Amino acid sequence: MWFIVILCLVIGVLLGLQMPFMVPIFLTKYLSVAILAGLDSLFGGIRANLEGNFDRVVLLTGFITNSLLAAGFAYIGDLLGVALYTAAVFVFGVRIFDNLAIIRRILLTLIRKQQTEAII
Amino acid sequence: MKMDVTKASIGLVSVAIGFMLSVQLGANSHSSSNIPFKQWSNQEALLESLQKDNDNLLNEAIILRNELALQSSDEQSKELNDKLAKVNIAAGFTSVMGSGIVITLDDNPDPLRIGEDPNDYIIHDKNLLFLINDLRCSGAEAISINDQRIIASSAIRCAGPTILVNTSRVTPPFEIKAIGNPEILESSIRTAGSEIQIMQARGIKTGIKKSSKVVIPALSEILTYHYAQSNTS
Repeated sequence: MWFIVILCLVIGVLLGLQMPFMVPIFLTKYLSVAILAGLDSLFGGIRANLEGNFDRVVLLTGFITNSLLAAGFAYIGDLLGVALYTAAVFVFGVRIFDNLAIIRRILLTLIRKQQTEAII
Repeated sequence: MKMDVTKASIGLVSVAIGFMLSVQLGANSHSSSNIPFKQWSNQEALLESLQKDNDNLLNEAIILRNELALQSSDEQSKELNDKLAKVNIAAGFTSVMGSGIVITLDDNPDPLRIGEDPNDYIIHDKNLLFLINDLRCSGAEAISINDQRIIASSAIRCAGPTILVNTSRVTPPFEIKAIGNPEILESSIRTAGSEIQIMQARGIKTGIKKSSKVVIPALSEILTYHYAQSNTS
């Protein structure tokens, strides 16, 4: 699982580096929020996989809609003069850390279980 | 089978995120390479080269004008030459010499006191404009500010901390030369209510010197007319 995630990330980065175009400067702010939303979906997917209730439709729709909505709301916020951007950063940041913490705990319990089984 | 679908979808999302990340990082490194500064220095180089071109063309114009003057002196009749000489003086095409006065002006050097307007301490475009007008009233035949010849179409205007005369920047101290009757010029610009008096009251440093030999340079610009045509019919 981890191998696949890292391999695919590397593939994505290489693909991105091959792109001939540059993102316009004014879009980078929204793209960064979209990346945060996407990372949240990715960690959410890994967590769901570990918990055994993984649903690929939830993952893919969540990834696409969360990214687009985050970027869209950041943009609307800029139009209105309200920093909705920070709200998206905050929400997805908290969720990423939540997901990471839960993934860590699940992995820890798994490892401990294996250790006790090995002892027995 | 179910595991494969899971892996595939998580892999897909990972690829997408990796792609977005690298694109974003590329854009950020792109933006941190100081584009505005680059543009700025480009513009600066452009300005410099244009100014150089401008100087070259001005020199060329002066040379050509001198050549023209030499050639015409052989061929033209005396009457026409006299007329040309007058027109040249009026238009500022030639350097002129004669009796007149030299006025020096400098900003008030005293420190600003409470309740005083800093604007009163400096020389403004309008002060120079009114002073030129005073000089013209009293029969000045040729005027220059810091060696910028004043002609009929000369503009004197404020450009931030400097003053634009014609299209050149001038800064204090100003040296205003005028050719005319020195006595009349001096007495008229010293009368009560003249621009010099108003400036003196504000603490501007002024100096007026009569001279029997004042040299005023030719106009350093090329006059072009896009709209006005002579109407002799």
